[in-house]
Formats: sequence, structure tokens, C-alpha cells
Amino acid sequence: MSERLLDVTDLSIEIETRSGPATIVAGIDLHVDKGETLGIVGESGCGKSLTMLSLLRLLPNKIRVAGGRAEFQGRDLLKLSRRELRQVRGGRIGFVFQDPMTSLNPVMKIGAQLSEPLIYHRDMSRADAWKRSGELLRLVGIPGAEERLHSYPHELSGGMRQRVMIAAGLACEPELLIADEPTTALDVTIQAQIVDLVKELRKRLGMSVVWITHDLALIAGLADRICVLYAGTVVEDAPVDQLFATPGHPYTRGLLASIPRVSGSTMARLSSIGGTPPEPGRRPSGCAFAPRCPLAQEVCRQNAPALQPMQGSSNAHRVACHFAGRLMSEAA
Amino acid sequence: MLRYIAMRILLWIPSVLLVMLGVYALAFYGAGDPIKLIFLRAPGDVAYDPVRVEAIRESAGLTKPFLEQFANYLLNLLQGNFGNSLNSGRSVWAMISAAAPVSFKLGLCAIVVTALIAVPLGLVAGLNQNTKLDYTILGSALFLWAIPPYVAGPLLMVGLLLILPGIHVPYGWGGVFDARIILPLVVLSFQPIALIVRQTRAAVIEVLSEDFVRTARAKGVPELFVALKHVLRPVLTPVVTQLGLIMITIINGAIFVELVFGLPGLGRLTVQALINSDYPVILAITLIGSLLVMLSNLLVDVLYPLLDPRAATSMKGR
Repeated sequence: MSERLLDVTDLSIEIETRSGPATIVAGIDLHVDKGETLGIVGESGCGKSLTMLSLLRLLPNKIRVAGGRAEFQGRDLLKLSRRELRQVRGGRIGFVFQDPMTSLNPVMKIGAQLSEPLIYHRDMSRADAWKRSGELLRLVGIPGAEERLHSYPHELSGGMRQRVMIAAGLACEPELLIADEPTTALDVTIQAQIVDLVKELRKRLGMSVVWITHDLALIAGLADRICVLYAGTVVEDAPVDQLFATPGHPYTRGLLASIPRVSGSTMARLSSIGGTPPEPGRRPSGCAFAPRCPLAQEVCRQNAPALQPMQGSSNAHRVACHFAGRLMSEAA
Repeated sequence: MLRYIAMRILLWIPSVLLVMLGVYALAFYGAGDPIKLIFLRAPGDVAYDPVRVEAIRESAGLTKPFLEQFANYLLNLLQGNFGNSLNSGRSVWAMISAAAPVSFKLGLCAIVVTALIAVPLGLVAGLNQNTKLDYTILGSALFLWAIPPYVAGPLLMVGLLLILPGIHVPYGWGGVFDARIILPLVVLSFQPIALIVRQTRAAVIEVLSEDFVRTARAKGVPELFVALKHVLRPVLTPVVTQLGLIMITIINGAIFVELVFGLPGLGRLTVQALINSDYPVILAITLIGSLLVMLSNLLVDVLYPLLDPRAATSMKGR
């Protein structure tokens, strides 16, 4: 077994509401090995971004971690002092955010924003950091890198800005890069460029990557392993080929079925999963997916299934379902 | 940029002409007769003589039709002649050029004091939103806001005189570096400080929820530098605008403060001119006031690109 870099156990996150705290993330278990790329997939609001933000304590106001552990290189991230936390942020773990339009400071030059992690983590002088920033921009494939350092974010295109964000995340050569839907705000050709860029950098720098997305098709060519989240829990965790070959959870199957496919000249109507995910604080008592699940039985509404290795598959393929891997006909 | 400034000045001219026409009309058709007032206020027992009054009125050109008077005034103005005060006969230009610097210096000092006190307080309050510190700062600001200058001025003056027996009465003007400026400055800064504290706080809270602040934290930037480099700068744009507006109101006549503390500024001059229906002085003050407003707005506009590079791009387009 390869070396664990990040090990999150039983992490739960709450939001403060008028009627008391409501659970958004309910006991997530996930891990990332060294050099591995983990894809985290799920619908909007399933808690995938919050889980990753909570690791660096970047949660918005009124949302807080309610319990659990997040060990990174043997230390619990959730218990770090402010000083230790600051060293991890941007130093050991780089973060790339979803929207490059708003995630860069509009009134600071690109060079100054790229220099920051170098100045605060590597004790570089302003001039050295600026020079290194130019190298970083070249690394992420920005033409005319040295001149671009003097640009402001509004003078760059969306794809260029996301490259800048990635450069900032990579500045201190972190062990882990967390990318929170980095391509959602970009158009399709730029998406592909960014994916290729991260693939290449991952190889060159030997880092682990956590890539959050709702786009299974995109993550298929990038991740080693995929975690599928539903309503704040991991419903399936499997190496990417196994997930696509033998999806165990009915929700995963629903997601896979909703990827658009063009076969020949006719295009089949897109299938979708009926219903909507539960609101935070209104989680059903048993399996959270039960109300939308075509296989749901009485046991699903009573007991929440645990994440267990799927029968007839490898140990690495774990599913949280009472009827994992069974077809609809078998369950009925 | 230069083109932009030139355009602003050109656009200012028609608007100031309209304002002056309005003011002239108000003074002309409104209540109060400057010539009669001269007689009423004259020292000793001067007999009111209708013949003499009309003679003076004639010689001052006040019997001509309204539009002709206004046109004459503008013609003189173009030659740099502001005319003479109807009341005292002194050159209006001399009166204005004595009063305006006092108001200008006072306004500038008040703005500097306000900015130095209010912006840091607002920043601290916003960064510590909903804590005791925040409530204390906000509460104090609201308290200051609730005290009008005509209450604060006399109270502070009397209070200080009673507490510090050796103190001179802080009355009159001795320049920016004279101790007598302190009290008027304090009084003048009360409400602006309250305003700017609240505005800075609100802006800080808004900026704190911006994505780029989260990015800065994710990069490992220490909180102090997050506040100073990432939060403060975007906050300054609206605050500078507000400071500019406050400065205009102070320059154009901090009437109560100037009267209470005996400062020979535009506020005092305005009051006297209004009481005496002294048209040339009123018009000159209107002109100077409008000029100052335009210049302050221009100053704020010129400062914008320094605070927000996006403004520079949009200004090039104009």
C-alpha cells in the first residue's frame, strides 16, 4: 500500500441556522495517497467544496466543523495552531478556486499576488519572489510571462487567470494541490487545456491532487480514484476504471447514465435522476439517497448503510449501499 | 486623462452659470433690500432719506432690468472683476481671497484628522464584526453622529475653559499650526468620523466575504497583511469618495463652527452676505463654492485609478 498523505475520518460540518445547527457534511471518510489524483464528484451543495475548504479552515461564516479528524502528513489539520495552519496554507497544500474572475484581487498586480506565498513561506525578498513568479507563469504556459507580472487581473482572460491561480497554488511546490472546480467557469477548449496543464505539472512535480468537480466525464481522464459524494456523505469510493466499469451505488449509476453520449448520428435523450437532494437539516433518517433511489427498500429508510468494500470487487472499491452492485431486477 | 480633466472643466461651466443665474434671481426678487439695510445698520442716527437711497441704487446699477444686471456681472467677471460689496464697498475678490484659504485649510485638516482616526477604527470594527470591540466602536460612532456641531462647539468650549483654568479662549484664526485650530477641528470632525467609521466598517465586512480574500488566506498570507493589503485597498475607494463630499461641505461653510470659534472663513462670509443681501458677495461665494466642488470631485476622480486600476482603463476610453 502506498503512503497516505491526507486521511479524513468522520468529518462533519454544520451550518448555523435560525432553528439551530443543520448538518451539511455528515461523517465523510476519504484519503489521498502520495502522488495520487483523487476526483471528488457530486451535485452542487453535496458538501464537496466545504469538505476541502474545512481542511484549511477557510469555511465561510456560520459554517463550522462539528467533528472528525483530517490528518495530513501525520498531523491533524483541524487542530493546528494559527501559525502552523498558515504554514500549511499555500506551503504544503495549494488551493485553486472555482471562479478565477473573483478569486484574484482586482487591485493587485499579478506578480504581487504570485509573490505572496513565496514571500511568506520561503522568506524570499520581493525581487527574488517577483523573478520566481515569472518562472511560475512560464511553467503554467502564459506567453510573455515577465510582462504579464505587471498586469492586473482584469487585463487577462478567464483561462489566463485560472492559470495564474494554478501558478499561485503551485508556488511553494506543495505536496497536495486542491482544485475546487477549476474549470467550471471556463469554456470547453480552455477546460481541456487546464486539465492537460494539471496532468503535466502533477507528473513533473510529483504532487497529489484533489480535483473537485461535478463533471464525471472530465474527471475520468484525470483521476486515479474517484469519491462520489451525495448529501454530505461518501457513497462510493473506487479506482476510476472500476467505478466506470462496475458502479456500485445507484446514485453513481444515475450520474454515469446522465453523461451525454453521441452514438452514430442519433443522440439518445439524456437520462436524469428524479427528485432533488435533501436540504441540510432535513436529511432522511436512513440512507440519504433512499427517496430518489429506484432500489430503495424498507431497510434503506431505516438504516444508513456504511461504506464497505463491494462484493465481487477489489478492496479498494467501497460502496455505501445495502444493495451495492445489484441490478434493479435483482433488488426487486 | 488630461482630456478627461479638460472635459470635466468644460462641462462645469454651463452648470455653474445656471446655478449663478438662479442665485442672482433669488437675491434680486427675494426679500431684503441691500441699500435700505446700509442705512438701517449705519452707526449713529442717520435719517432714512428715500431720495438718497434711490440715488445710491441708481449709481450701483441696481435699477437696471434683471437680465441686464446679470449680463453686466458676467462681463465684469470675465475681466476678472468680482465687483465691490454693496454693504462695505470693499473689493469682493479681496474678501473671498481672505476667507477661502481659511475654510480650505480647515476642511483639509478636518479630512486628514477624520481619515486618520476613522479609517483604522472602521477597519478594526469590520475585522472584528459582532464582537465587543466592534460594538464599542460602532456605539461611539453613533454617539458622535448624534451630536450636532452647534451643541458640541459651545459645550466643548465652555467645558474646556472651566476644566483648564490657564487656557486662552480658543477664539480666532492663527493658521493650521496654531493651537486655536484644535477645538474647531474636533467639532468639525465629529460627524465625519462617525460617518466614515460606519462606512469603512460596512465596506470591510463586504470585502471580507470576497473570494480573493479567501485566496489570500489560502496562500498563507498572515491575517495582518490580509487586512492591510487585500481588504483595506478596495475599501478605500468608496471611503475616498465620501471624504471628498465631506470636504466640500466643510469648505463651503462650516457656518456654526466658524461663528462659534470666530474663524474668518467662507461660512461666516456667507452668513454676513446673506443677512445684508449683498449680491456680489453671494454670487462670488456661489462661484467659488461651485469651483471647489468641481475641483474636489476632480481630485477624487484622479485618485481613483491609484486605488483601483480598473478605473484607469475605463478612463482611457473616455
